[in-house]
This record gives sequence, C-alpha cells and structure tokens, in this order.
Amino acid sequence: MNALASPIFIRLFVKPPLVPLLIVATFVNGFWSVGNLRTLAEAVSTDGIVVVGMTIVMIAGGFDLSVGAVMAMGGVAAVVLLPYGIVVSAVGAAVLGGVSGTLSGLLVTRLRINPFIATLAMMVMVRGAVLAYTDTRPVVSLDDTFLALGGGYPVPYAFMALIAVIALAYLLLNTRPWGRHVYAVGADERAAAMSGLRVQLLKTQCYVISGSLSGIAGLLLAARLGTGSPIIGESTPLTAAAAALIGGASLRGGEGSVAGAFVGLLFIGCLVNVMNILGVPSYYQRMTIGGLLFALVVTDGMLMRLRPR
Amino acid sequence: MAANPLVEMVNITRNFGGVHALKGVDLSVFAGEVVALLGHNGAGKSVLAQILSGVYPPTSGEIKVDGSPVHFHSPNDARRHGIETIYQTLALADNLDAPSNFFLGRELRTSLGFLDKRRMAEEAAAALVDLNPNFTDIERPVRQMSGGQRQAIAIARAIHFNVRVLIMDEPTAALGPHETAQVAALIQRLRDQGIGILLISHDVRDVMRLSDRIVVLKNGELVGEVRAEESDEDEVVEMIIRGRKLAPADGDGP
Ligand SMILES: Nc1ncnc2c1ncn2[C@@H]1O[C@H](COP(=O)(O)OP(=O)(O)OP(=O)(O)O)[C@@H](O)[C@H]1O
Ligand SMILES: [Mg+2]
Repeated sequence: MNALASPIFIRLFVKPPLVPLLIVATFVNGFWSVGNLRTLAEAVSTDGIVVVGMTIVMIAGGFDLSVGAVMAMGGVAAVVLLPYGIVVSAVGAAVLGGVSGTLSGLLVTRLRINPFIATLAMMVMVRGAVLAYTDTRPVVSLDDTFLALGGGYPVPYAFMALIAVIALAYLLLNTRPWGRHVYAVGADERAAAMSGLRVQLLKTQCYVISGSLSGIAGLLLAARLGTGSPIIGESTPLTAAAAALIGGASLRGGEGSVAGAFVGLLFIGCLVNVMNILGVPSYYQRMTIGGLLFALVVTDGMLMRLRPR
Repeated sequence: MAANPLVEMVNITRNFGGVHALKGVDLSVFAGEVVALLGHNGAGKSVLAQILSGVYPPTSGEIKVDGSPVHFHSPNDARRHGIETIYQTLALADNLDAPSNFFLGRELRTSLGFLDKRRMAEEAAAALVDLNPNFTDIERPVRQMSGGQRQAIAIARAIHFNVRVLIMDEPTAALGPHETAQVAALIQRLRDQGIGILLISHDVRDVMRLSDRIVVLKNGELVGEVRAEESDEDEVVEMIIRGRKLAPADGDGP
C-alpha cells in the first residue's frame, strides 16, 4: 500500500497537518520548552475531555451544543460542593452533567427535536441557571486538595485524566458491543432499530456521557483556575466540534474516532498556542478557529452530497 | 401439517397518520410451509411483514405464536420467538463490516463481555461462504459491497440464529440468476427442516414454483388466497391486477 495514503499518515500530516505545524513551530521562540508544552497540555486537557463526549454523540448521529455551559455548571458545582469533600464535589459535577445530558437525550429521542435545537435550548437554560445561581460572579475555592488537582508537574493531572478518558472511550467504542451499536445507530437509525437495537436508549446514553464528561472537565478547569466561573466554555462547543470533525467525525453520524479527535484537538491547541506566543490578538484567533470550522463543515457538507444515500 | 399455525395474525390494521396501510388482514404460517404474499407496490406487504417482525405494533388486531397471543415491542421480541426477517431495505449499517452486521444486536462476547471479533469473523465468514463461495473479503464496510453481497449478509444472518419463522421481503431483488436459484434451493431446504416461510416477491413464476399457499393483498385488504398447486400464474396475476378472486374459496386455513 502507498504510505502516503495510509490513515495514520493522513491523520498526522494532512488532515490535520499536525506534524508540519509542529515543524513550523520549531521556529517559534519557546514552543518546545517544557513550560510551554505544559501550558499546551493544560489547555488541551479540559477541552479534550469534552471532545471525547462530543465525538461519541456525533458518532451516534447527534450533536451537543451544551458542552460549554455544562462545563461551567460542573466547575461551579464542584467548588460549591467542596465543603462536603472532594469525592462529593467530583461526583456532583459528573452527575449534574449527566442529568443535563439525560434531558438533552430525552428532548432528542422522545420529542424528536433536532439535536442542534435541543442542545441549544439546554445550553441557554444551563448557562442561565449557572449565572443566576452565582449571581454572575465566579465562586472561589481555597481548598488545597482541590487546587492540587489543578496542578501536576511536568504532566498536569488533568492531562493524565484526559489520557485515561480517551483510553476508556476507545475501549468502549472498539471492543464492546455497545460501541458497535453506537456506530450502527449513527449510520442508519432505522436499520439499527430493525436489527433490534434500542436506538433511543443508546442515543440518550451518548448524551449522558457527553454531559458527565463536560461536568468533569468543568471541575478540572475550576481546580486549575481556583475558581468556578459561570462564563467559561463559551467557545468550547465549536472547538470540540472542530476537533471531532478534523478527527473524522461527520455531521451525518456513523463516523469518527476518539483518537482522531484527539489529534484534531492537538492541532487546534498547537495553532492557538503558537498564535499566543506570536501575540496574535484573541479575536483573530477566534476568527481562525471559526474559519477552520467553517471549512470543515463545508467539506463535510460536500461529501454528504457526493455520497449516494 | 401441525394443527396449530406457528404464527397467526388476526384482523390486523395499521394506520400511519391518515394512511390506512392495512385494513383488517388475516395471515397464518404453518411449520414447513411457504406462504407467498403478493400484491402491487404499496399494497401493504412490507408493513404486514414488519408487524410480524416487531418493527411496528399493529394499530389493532392480534398476533399469536403457537396459539398464544404475543405483543412485540421490538424486533428483539419477535426474534426471541424465532421470527427472523430479511428486510426489503436489508437493514444493514453501511459503515460496519459484514461480521458486525451479521451479529448486530447479538454480538458474540468473551467471558468479560468484550467483542469476540475473531469468532464473529469466523462464524460470519463460514455462513457467508455457505451462501456464496466467492464472498471472502468480508471485513470491510458493507457500503463498499455489491447489492448481491449485501443481500447475502441479510439472508445469512436471518437463518443463522434458530429461526422458526422466516420472513423474506423481496430476498432476491439484488441477486443475479445464479444466486436467485440458490435462494430458491435454500427456501426448499428450510421448508424441509420444518421452518415456516413468509415470502414476499414480485416474481409470480418463482412464487408458483416455491410456495404452498399464495395470499394476495391490494390496498391493505386481503384479496384472497389460493393453494399454489390448485392455481396457476394467470389466476394469481388476475387476483393481483383486478383485486378479486375468480374461483370460489377452497376453505383452507385454520
Ligand atoms: N413508515 C411509514 N409511514 C407512513 N406510511 C407508510 C410507512 N410504511 C409504509 N407506509 C405506507 O403504507 C402503504 C403500504 O406500504 P408497503 O411498504 O407495505 O407496500 P408494499 O406492498 O411492500 O410495496 P412494495 O411492493 O413497493 O414493496 C404505502 O401506502 C406506504 O406509503
Ligand atoms: Mg415492500
């Protein structure tokens, strides 16, 4: 087989051009320093956990716009629950995210609302609730254990959590019957139902996973910042979707992989990191990520029309 | 022939919003019998078949298996009673390979609950080669496969798991003459094993040759039924086209 056509080559050199970007980054002062790599790892780890959930939802043929708001909710909940201990705090963040995911799942499967609309509604509702609860102010934590969770040197704990989440998701999707079912549901819901799969349950489970992971990501972010902020995660759904799309997911469903999405996220993370070092203002950075997402959605849409269905 | 039919559908109706797809249809299948279901496009054949498969619940009416009433909430319920279906649409997940589709919803697992990919690939390969000796490259997404290969997967998986009643909705639509002949042989072999078969087809000649009983639907209503050996192509075509029966009923049935 032609090495240039191998999936791994494409994943690292073409879609996305991660390795070329890393080579270019060599000429950017300080990119390869331990300090900067640690910053990069911190930046991708919380978003990365969200990306895993988004990818699973997208494989099942859905979408989750609420991930950023749920992240904020998770962070605030984690800080508020800290007096009851770190375990209660972590479980609380995950469970609240899971409850929000359950609602999204029910909206999509029971009321048959388009996933974009359903999770947009959840996004606005959750964000509103978090802003109301905190009176729009960040909640601060001085708990040592919690703050330590936000550290880790040279490898941040959040990054280790991300690797664990990716490994678990990989096992779930590729070695368990459940994973096959999710891919089948995403490809053809009717065929999946005719094959006896519980389509509505499976889709709801995917939203629950996405919600819980977003809640946990929110907790880790709050631990790093020392505060649960009600306004974080505004651009997270777009970053997560871009990473998943780069990684081979599709708005049609039935495609995608967590490993691919991780490479996609690394690419976006490096791009942003390099722009930060070069002092590119944040609004240009946003335009760059937005343009990238635009290009991805357009190519995905073109593929959708080209492929006979 | 056994006294009780394997499955019996009594006075089945089904509406989709304002569309009356079925308006009170009776149908039974006995062990070791091939029942052909004929009718124009849109007559309601697939809907009737899918009610028996557990895809749709009937709007009203009753389904009995071995004489006892059953309620199917999903195709799994029907499968549990040994009712297997080759759907007209095949119901394959295009992005998965042949073994994954073959075992979709009833995957082989290791003792820890992981997919037993090797055993799934081996069993699926054996079953598919049995149907089509040239069908070897099975571990690629089925969207890359030919219509005949896809149909072979749908057929093979329907007969692999303890089937008692086999519903075949246009099983040879994508097959060439050789494969069609093989499916005909398969139908006869399964019938000889005592399996009840509900065969939906547009090929009246094939149907005359393969079936014991012929049931004709039109606009969601039963036109009538005849025994294949007591009828001929002309009469059956007449029933399909005119929507009525020329000869008087021969009183067969439970
Ligand atoms: N899911 C559905 N929703 C709405 N209407 C449906 C649905 N399925 C079938 N129908 C309608 O029910 C009627 C019977 O359809 P059915 O598919 O059973 O026909 P058929 O006899 O199998 O035809 P063909 O020979 O073309 O396969 C048609 O009018 C069809 O439009
Ligand atoms: Mg049909």
